[in-house]
Amino acid sequence: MSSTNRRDFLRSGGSALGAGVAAATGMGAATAEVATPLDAAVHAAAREAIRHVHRDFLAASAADSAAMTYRPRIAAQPDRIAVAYDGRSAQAVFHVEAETVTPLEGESTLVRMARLQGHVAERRIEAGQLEAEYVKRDDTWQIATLRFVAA
Amino acid sequence: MPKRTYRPLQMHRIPYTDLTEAQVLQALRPGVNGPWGLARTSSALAGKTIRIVTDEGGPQLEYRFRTDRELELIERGGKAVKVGYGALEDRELVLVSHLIPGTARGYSLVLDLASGLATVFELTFNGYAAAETAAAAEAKREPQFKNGRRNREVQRKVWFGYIDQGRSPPTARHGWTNRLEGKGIAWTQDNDVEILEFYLSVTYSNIIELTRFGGEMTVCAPSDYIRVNDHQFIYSRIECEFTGTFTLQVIDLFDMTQRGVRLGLTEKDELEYYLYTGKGVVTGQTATFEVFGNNSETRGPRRVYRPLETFEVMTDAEVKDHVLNHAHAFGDGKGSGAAGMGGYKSERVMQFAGRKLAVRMEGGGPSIDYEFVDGGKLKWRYAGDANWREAWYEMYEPDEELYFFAHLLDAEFPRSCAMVAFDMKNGLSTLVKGTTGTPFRNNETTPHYYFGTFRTDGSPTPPTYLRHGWTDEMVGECVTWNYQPGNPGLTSMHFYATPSTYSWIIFQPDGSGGMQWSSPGWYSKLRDGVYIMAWVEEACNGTLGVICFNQRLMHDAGFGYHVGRNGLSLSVIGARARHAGKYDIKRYLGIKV
Repeated sequence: MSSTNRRDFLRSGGSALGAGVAAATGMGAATAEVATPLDAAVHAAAREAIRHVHRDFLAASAADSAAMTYRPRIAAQPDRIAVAYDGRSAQAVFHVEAETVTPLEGESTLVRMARLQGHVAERRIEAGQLEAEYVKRDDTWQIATLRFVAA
Repeated sequence: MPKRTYRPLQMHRIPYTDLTEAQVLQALRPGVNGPWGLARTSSALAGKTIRIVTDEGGPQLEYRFRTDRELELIERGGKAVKVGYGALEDRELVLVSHLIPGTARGYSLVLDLASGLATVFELTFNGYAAAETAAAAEAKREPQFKNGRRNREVQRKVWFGYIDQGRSPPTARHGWTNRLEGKGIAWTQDNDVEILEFYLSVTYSNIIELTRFGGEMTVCAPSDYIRVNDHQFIYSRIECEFTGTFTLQVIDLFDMTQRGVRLGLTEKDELEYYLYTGKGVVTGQTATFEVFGNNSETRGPRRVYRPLETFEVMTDAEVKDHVLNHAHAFGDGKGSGAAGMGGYKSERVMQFAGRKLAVRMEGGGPSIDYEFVDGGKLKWRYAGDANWREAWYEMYEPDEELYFFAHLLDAEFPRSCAMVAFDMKNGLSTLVKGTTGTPFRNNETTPHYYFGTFRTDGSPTPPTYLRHGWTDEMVGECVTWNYQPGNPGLTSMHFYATPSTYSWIIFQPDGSGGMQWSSPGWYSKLRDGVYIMAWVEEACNGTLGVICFNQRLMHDAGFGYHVGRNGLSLSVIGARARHAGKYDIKRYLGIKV
């Protein structure tokens, strides 16, 4: 995915379905997976596949300079992935740091001067978590919904 | 005793001549004898040959100082040219300045005879248009000039290097710094020039010309700050957008002295080229906003703000059309006027809906009756007039029971607005009437202040003689204003420089001060620590800004009034403030003879 930006990632549908925001995996953070009574090996494989989806999504968000970018964040609570009994859907919570880029808008003197000295957008970094839902279609895990919740 | 010289036109209103190259060359001719000056020129270099090597492909200069007033220069092994020079010493530093005969070029340099380091200012006239065109092309923006030759402005390139002494070159260099940032110094020069300088940025500075312009206004100039050591600094500025004059000085903070050179063409197009010395007094030190450890050694390019060049002047007909047919107050009641400068506006005041108010201004000001229809619409009429008009308004409470609202006045050309403050604790009122147009440009604005009283249900009897009035209590203060969340976000710093002016500093992303500009300003007092401050961005974009500043809350409520290509707008200003410090400068300002 390194050559694919976030929009392409969402547009492709290969790994995401209509997600409004980007996602990041909990790489580097401990992951506590909710146990289910069905085949543990199948669920472990599903969780690993979902981690891949997030890693790809993280790369895509980082490649899109105009969008919100996410980085993994170590939090007091570990990231969570819960795969449904039937192995067709899953939920996850990933602790992330979100970086937003908002263009400076307006034509006031202040804005014009700021732009002239290279300050064309405001960058903000905010801690929070991504709350995601996944579905499995054609043996591929895809993001169904995704939202960023500020800490 | 130095005398204050008041001018009919401030710097930003003077129509400077757009000189040809030939005219510049002609004007520079006397300069080949070197700068004049009252101070004794240094003989430290007389009889010496000095080779200067600069980094990054800069000048390679071989100087043969024949006497203390004449030198020969060989540039990059070329032909020697003979020229007059001047030099001043500050401890181990020698400031040298000269032109190159038959050209519009010259050098001013600071040689450090102890460390062997050198900083070279390569100076040229005739370079602005070409340099700006190239810079704009690289940045993919429009050049900041329209027509003309732009030859009168000195251009400078700064080169760091060393004196080649035939052994291993030093690795150290003089370097960019923010160690002067925030400092203000009052200078008295040996030529009776008195000037206040404020180093509020790492790329700009403020000056108040006390003797040459009477000290009414502050102006801003792109500047360089270079650290030699912890007490000696090299400072330069170019009065871009004005005469284009270059100033370079060595500042010594141990004994508070300066050695400087001034090179440029006056507003009469005459050469001004002299050395000077001066004694200074620190007037204050304001806070700086870089993170600790950021000393600005790697500061970016020094960009130039050119509001006079980029101001789009509109015709009578254009302005008339906009003020009559494209006028919007507060997004026509929808509140869309909150964008940009109103990110931290306070809660709107709705409680006057259904009530009446009568303001009575004195000194020829308007008397207006109001009926507040609801929280966003009012009816108004001039006292005694039967004709009620409707207008959008917004009202705020910048201090307890002190209210401030604004609305547009009649649809006529020029068009005005009223910004009204009324104090329910004492019955006093101030009305700032903003009107489009100045004697210079139609799409600027002009404020008129009026002080008076008001009546409404429950209002107290106002005092007989006391009124709101002019104040200089804010003079010298520096206050940051954050208009939107973010760091630096939409944030500037106001410097309330004199009773009739202020300047603003735009922060760079690393928190250092960046570009600046200034404008006339007006200050009135409503209560202790509560003021109405107004400014007009003359020759900039023409906006009238009026804020009611509560120093206890460090917050304001205010309004902006602007006419431009997008129409006439009356919008809200609301920002959060931090106190950055204060300069002790009142003693230098005000009416002097």
